[in-house]
Amino acid sequence: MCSDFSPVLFSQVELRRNISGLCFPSALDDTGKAEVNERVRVSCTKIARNFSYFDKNSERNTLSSLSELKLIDSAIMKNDYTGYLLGDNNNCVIAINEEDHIKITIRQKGLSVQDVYKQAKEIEKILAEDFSFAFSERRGYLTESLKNTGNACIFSVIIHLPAMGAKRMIAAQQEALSLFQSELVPFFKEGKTDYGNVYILRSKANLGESTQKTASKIYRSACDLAASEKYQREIFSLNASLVQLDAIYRAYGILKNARLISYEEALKLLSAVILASESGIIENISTKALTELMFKLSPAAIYEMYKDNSYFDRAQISYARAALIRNSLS
Amino acid sequence: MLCDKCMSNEACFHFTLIVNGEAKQVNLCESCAYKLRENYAPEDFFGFTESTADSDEHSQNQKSGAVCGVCGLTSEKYIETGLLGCENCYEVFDELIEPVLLKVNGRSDYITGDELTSISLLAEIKGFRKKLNCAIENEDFEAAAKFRDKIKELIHSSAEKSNV
Repeated sequence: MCSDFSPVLFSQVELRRNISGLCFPSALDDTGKAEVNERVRVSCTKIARNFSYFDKNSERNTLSSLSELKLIDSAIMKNDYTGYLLGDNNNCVIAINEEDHIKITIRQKGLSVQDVYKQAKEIEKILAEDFSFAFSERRGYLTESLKNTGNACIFSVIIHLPAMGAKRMIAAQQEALSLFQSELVPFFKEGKTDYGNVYILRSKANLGESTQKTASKIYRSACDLAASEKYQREIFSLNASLVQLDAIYRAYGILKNARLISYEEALKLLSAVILASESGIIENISTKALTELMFKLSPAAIYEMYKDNSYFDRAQISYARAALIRNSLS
Repeated sequence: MLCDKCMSNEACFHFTLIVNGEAKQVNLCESCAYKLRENYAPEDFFGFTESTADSDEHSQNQKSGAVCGVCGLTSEKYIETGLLGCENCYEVFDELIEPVLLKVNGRSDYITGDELTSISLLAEIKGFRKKLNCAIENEDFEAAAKFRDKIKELIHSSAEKSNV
């Protein structure tokens, strides 16, 4: 069983649905969008999750922080009548009038592709009591963008691959996965540079195979990646060169002592220290806590954490970030 | 492998051309490759200025004239954005959509099975819920109990089928 392997951080599924008889959001007028927004929100009250509603009028940093976690699309948040219902500690997100009328996202810790799919289907069933979804026997579920037409279901696994990253094996994996209609894309990315060796393994095919088959494919690919990562970590623990060890201890030293640290540097160094901890090179570190920390260090997330402070400039954010890391390592 | 342009000489140049974000594998003979170099406009040279449709006559007709009667989306607008406006667009722009779906998925047919079962089950559940509400309104509690049990049974069977 590879479900307990530490490289796999989260499993996620996205189900997209459009309401039959209505134009898709991009072609829908304001009255129509407002009606969809209202009807979906009312229907969601039947779902037993504590939802909070966010739209473009919500607090900007909260939205940025959710956007950095890839739970909402900040660009679409500029639109009127686009909204997000977030429930259960952000494990469940229902997007209204985003690209499609409804997008159900379930994210859960660990490798649980089947379980997240089951949860999303349960929500879909509740909504289907109030709505008929746009569907054709030939094309499946009809969506605004053709890349989602069919199953309208994207499976993702968020995975941390520092050892494979260190051995520059990611490009080969990306190429191999593209043959299976999956992709491996960086989670933390600024321009063309990615940080932290955290990747999203994502399904691309929506036609020609059932959702169950796609789920199984992603599960197997995640298991394979996790096994490769684990193997590379073992090799790393036995054969790490002096240069690599030096880089790791420097990273550890900086994280333990820095008073100011940028987001990008923090992600890069944390990834190295997590690798060292998982490989047994550095002991007595909570890998789990450090991994969770990687998702809490963005400027918006830190601002959100200290939002009671009236003013928080860049240096103060870097200072707060460094303090958070020092506390986790102490 | 024959040259994609003249279809007579053996291709000795192989490269990938990106047209409107879509990758196309191109194989050329020496003569055609030289002509391309002389007058560098690969999209015109190969005659595929639009990536999302075939170059057959029917597609050309769709490209130039089709308009969706429900949402008003034109084929030109669809080609520009790649986005559809409503369910009806899938019928109107069918010929344009087919090659794109093939490119994205490798296949363009929807695999029926659990999804369809689930759809028909949901419709059935919805129908029984309406009947249940009517029975309650008419104070026909015996019938209401039967409908309630039927709904429970369907929900149970639907949950079993959706187990991956």
